[in-house]
Amino acid sequence: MATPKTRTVDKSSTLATLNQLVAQQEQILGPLIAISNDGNQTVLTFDAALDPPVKNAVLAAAAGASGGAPGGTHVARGEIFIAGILTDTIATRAS
Amino acid sequence: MNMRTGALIVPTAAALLLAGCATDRVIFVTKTSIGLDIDRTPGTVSIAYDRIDGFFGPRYDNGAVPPVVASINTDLAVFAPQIRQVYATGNAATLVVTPSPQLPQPLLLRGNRKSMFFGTSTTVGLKIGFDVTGLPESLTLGYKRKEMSVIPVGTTKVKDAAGNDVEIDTYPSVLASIDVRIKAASPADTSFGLNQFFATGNAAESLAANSAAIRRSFITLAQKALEPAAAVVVAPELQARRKKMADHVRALRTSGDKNTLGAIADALNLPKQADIPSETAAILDEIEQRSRDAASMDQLSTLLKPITRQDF
Repeated sequence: MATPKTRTVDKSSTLATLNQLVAQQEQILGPLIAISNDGNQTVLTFDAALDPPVKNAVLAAAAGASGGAPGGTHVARGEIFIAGILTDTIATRAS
Repeated sequence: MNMRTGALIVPTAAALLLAGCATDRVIFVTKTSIGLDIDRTPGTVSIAYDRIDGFFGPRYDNGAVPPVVASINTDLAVFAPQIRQVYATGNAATLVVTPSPQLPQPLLLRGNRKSMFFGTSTTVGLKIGFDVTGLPESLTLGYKRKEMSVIPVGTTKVKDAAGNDVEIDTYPSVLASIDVRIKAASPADTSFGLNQFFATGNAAESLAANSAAIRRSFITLAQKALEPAAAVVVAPELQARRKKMADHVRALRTSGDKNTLGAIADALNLPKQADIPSETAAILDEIEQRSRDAASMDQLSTLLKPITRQDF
């Protein structure tokens, strides 16, 4: 059974900061399972019932409508704030 | 000292307030009386509860008032009642209601001296009757507690935003708590548990910031659910310490050590969870929130060391 734990991130955070946060939070709270926003800030959700992943999830702006995830396993997709701009984003994890 | 607090202090304070007189002292008083009478033949439960809280002290032009807090939690469960009370003033009052408090620098005992008073009085009476099969048949509980402090405010100098010396008032910390737990399952399985704390000054602040037994009254699941924590990037060395602690907790989950996980959850003031994965998740969540800088990580490591028997 999943035990989701959420963390909010300031909307002005850059993509680099967001990825650094994901890497650190996954080591404590477990793997990232969802990305979204609450209108004012980014919301990251982790599954604390699972062990930390060997390789961290990486966020990237979705490329075009297809939002592909080349070279990794798709983890989550959602709209999050990147440097203040609501951006369609995908999270992938390298195999 | 005559402790007819409710009868004397509240009217006196109200009269002083109406007279509009300035004051350089804070009077904070509570009085609680609880009566519980349970009888299975005939089946009756009688409950009586009486409580008075009173505060008299200065109000400043900017709207500030000296901080105090008093709480009572009781379930008055039939044949297993619990009563928990906390009373605090000054920094201790603020610390005890703050989810992740930072302990302030200890105050040195210096400057002018004035007398203050802080006292509690507690009376508990308990009688339990069992029938011939060993089941509890009746329970009579009488509980009475008074808490009171009369503390003059002090003054100290601090720097304002422009770096100028400004004089501010100070209000010392005192803290008193009591936790009464009664269980009457059978003549052999009957217990009366009592934890009591009484502290002043820096000791009161330390208890308010660190004691799970005292803080649990104020940290609720609802509060946590309503306030998702903000993520912050931490230094690599700190992250390594956080990860080591998280790995330790996950190892307890893997080995199914529910007792140790429960002890950690208690130390962190976390509500009980139904299963090991949920308890582990709640602990990891709390660890992440309580270890945002080296000082808070040190504090967390010290808090859990009696249970984990290692430094993080």
